[in-house]
Amino acid sequence: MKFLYRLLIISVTIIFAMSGCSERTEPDRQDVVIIGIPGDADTFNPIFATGVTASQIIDLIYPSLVHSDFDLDDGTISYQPSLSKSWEHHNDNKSITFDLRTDAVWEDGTTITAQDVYTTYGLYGNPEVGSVRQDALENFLKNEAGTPDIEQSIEVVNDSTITFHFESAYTGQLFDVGLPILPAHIFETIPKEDLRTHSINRQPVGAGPFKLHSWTPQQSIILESNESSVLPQPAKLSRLIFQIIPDYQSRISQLESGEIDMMDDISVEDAERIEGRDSPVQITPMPERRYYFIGWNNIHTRAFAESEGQTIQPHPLFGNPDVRKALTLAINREEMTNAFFGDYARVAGGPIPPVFRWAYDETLEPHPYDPQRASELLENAGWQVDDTGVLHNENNRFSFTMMIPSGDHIRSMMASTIQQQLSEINIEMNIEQVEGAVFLQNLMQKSYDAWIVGFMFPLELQIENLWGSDFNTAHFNFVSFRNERVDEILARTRVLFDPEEAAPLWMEFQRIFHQEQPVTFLCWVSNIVGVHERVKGKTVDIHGLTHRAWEWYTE
Amino acid sequence: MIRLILGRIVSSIPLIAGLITIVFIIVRLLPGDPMTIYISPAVPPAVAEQLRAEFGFDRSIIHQYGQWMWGVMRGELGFSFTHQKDVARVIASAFPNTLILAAVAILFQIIIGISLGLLAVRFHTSFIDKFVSVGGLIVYTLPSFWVAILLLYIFSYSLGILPSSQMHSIGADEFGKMEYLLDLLKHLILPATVLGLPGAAAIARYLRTNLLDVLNEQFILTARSMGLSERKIFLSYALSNALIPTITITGTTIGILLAGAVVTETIFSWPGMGRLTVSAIFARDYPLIIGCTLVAGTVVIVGNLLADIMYRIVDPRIRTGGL
Repeated sequence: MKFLYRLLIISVTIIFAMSGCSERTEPDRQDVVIIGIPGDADTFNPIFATGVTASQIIDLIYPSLVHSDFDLDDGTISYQPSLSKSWEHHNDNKSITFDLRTDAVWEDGTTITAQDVYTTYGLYGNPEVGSVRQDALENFLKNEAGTPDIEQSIEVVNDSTITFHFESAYTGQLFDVGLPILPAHIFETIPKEDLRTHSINRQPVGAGPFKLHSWTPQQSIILESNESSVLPQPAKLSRLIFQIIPDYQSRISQLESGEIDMMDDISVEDAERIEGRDSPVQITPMPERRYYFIGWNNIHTRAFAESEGQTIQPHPLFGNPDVRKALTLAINREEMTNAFFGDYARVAGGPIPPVFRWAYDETLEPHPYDPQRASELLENAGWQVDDTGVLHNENNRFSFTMMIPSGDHIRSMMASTIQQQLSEINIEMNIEQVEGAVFLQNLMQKSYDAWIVGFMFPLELQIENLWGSDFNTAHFNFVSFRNERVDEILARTRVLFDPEEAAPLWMEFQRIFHQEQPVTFLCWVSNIVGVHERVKGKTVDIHGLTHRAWEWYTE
Repeated sequence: MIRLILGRIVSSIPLIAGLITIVFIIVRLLPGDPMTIYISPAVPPAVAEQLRAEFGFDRSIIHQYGQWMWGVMRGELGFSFTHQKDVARVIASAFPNTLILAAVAILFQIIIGISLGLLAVRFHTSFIDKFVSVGGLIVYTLPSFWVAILLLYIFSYSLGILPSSQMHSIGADEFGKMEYLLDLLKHLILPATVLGLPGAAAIARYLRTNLLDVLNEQFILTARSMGLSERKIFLSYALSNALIPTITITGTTIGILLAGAVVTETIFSWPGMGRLTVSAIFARDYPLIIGCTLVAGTVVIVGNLLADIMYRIVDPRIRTGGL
């Protein structure tokens, strides 16, 4: 008995003694920044990496020909020299020749040459490798099999000169040649079938401002400054640490207690709470790139599915633009945006985000909340209230199911609000939640009638895959919107390099959407970032949290 | 004893095979497959299809099952898509972490459970007894995530004396050996407490009840009438008998510890099997899900086997009667 009591007393003493050691074991945080992230990286090989964390780290470790920057003042994306010193368009803008730096070296001291670029793109474009970035080579010259012909598309002139040839001129060329470049002297020795499992995927040899110090799976990824980097410079921080904290509550608590220095995706409630008190954490919204919209399937889902994509008929409920407009008018988007996102969002009126200042039509007001007008439009379209109090036309009741992915609190609340507001104009809406991956698969198969999605808008204004009429290439035109003039505008703007020339076309594009309402845009939402005040430098960038992390320093 | 162990190992094989077969079927009944993680605006559908074929997901379930079972028999658990390496290697990096956490939690539950049980008996019908009895029941029924958040709030965020997540502090790899160990222990306190608390409560309550029962047995009265000291009676006769069920509880709580680790490890960002299993399920990483199940099933069986062996060692009645 006494022994047990002694053991208990000793244990408690040890626990408190160890607690007292906390100051001593706390590592030095000077020149160190810790980012709290929800999940681990999958691989550090850009050929296969799919996750956000992996992509952020790859961008800091591996070099690329160009570095992109987004100018929030005019809303344009610009490309800065990185591995390339300069470049020149020629052959009617169908070719670009890059002049590479000769002083850039890999971590192991090997000089970076044009061969590295050629080999890397060879891997991205090789169907046997199965890269997730194959689509970046979609506009390269093709071989007979229809896959990118690297030999024809990329010409190594000498060690420091390389030329890319494209099928056509288009505005996204520099975006597509800006993929991470890998060390050829290492990757050429790895058999294709071993690429996915090779140790290089966990121990990258890069040339960027940071290099990998250590990766402890499910715990942390530690980067350190790459002193030999000239792309663009060794990082000012000695270390950048990605601390994996899956639980959101733990993450936000650690941000507030100073255990971590920054995190993104902060909820509006937490952001308002932190802002409302004297906290060393600065809350900053990243400009709106995220958006929510209600997809109304424009075409008849069953006819489309039964004919294996051959029969395209208007959807019995949502096929008429006036009906879709009525649905938009019946939903109080302003109230919903304010309720869910406060000051961190604005009502979306069309398909182009306000950050693209040069292309965004400020004069086009989003449709107001006007249920009376909505009812009039529906009546004019032949919908009458039946005995059960639900709209009815010759063939159909206005009753449908709104699909949302499970576990998404925001979309779940949005759906409930929409359900209640549509019931006021005699429309019956059911809500069904399905698992996220299944939700996406069904969207791609166009098998849902209505749904709410949240998307991230690309920084290059290239949205053919969202709104083009060719369903084979427009993989994300889930609503099956088809409009000839929209196709013409998308094709024309693709080759217009001068924003001033393209702007009027984009304005017209938005007016078509305003009229046709293929979807009901809900709101543009900011990603809320919390950064400890001791971290200095450009910590919030529309590209993402770590876009210019090499410039960060601590005070 | 050896016959018992061998017999148990042989009988465990069909049990584990059945378990992983059921899990194999269940995960494939779920909609979606691992390639759904490749579905994004950046990935051409052809790539997902190609990978699906590469990993055999385009084949029939029976074919996949046969292929997978054949691999397991050869000691290969397959390839994890999310970790881009062999399942065995992924598990090998997480399993020791859970083992450390579970071991400390077991130690915690034994020390605290037995101590509180003894205290309750020593001060029977007093406030302490009621506290152990009622408090134990409350602690046993409290959800572990709630306890975890409460302890985090008190010890990490308010008092700031214990770390809130992970196994080590940042930069711990540069600490000296002793400092590294202390750092690990500091990180262990909260998760091990959360994990061990229900077990401690159960042991305390069981021990209290058993000890009170045993103290009223005839043989204790006999011992007293023979003039043995109370200390000798308590330690040699009462306690040794009352502790037997504690061994069974400890053995069977190994399974509960593993289940609890799923929640505890997620809240405390502990890089063990619990977190690995959760992330594998969300990513539809079939081979990893089944690998984790295989390990968890084996641990539960081994835990029960150890409890049986211990039971036989401490209780001669079982030894002679057989199992």
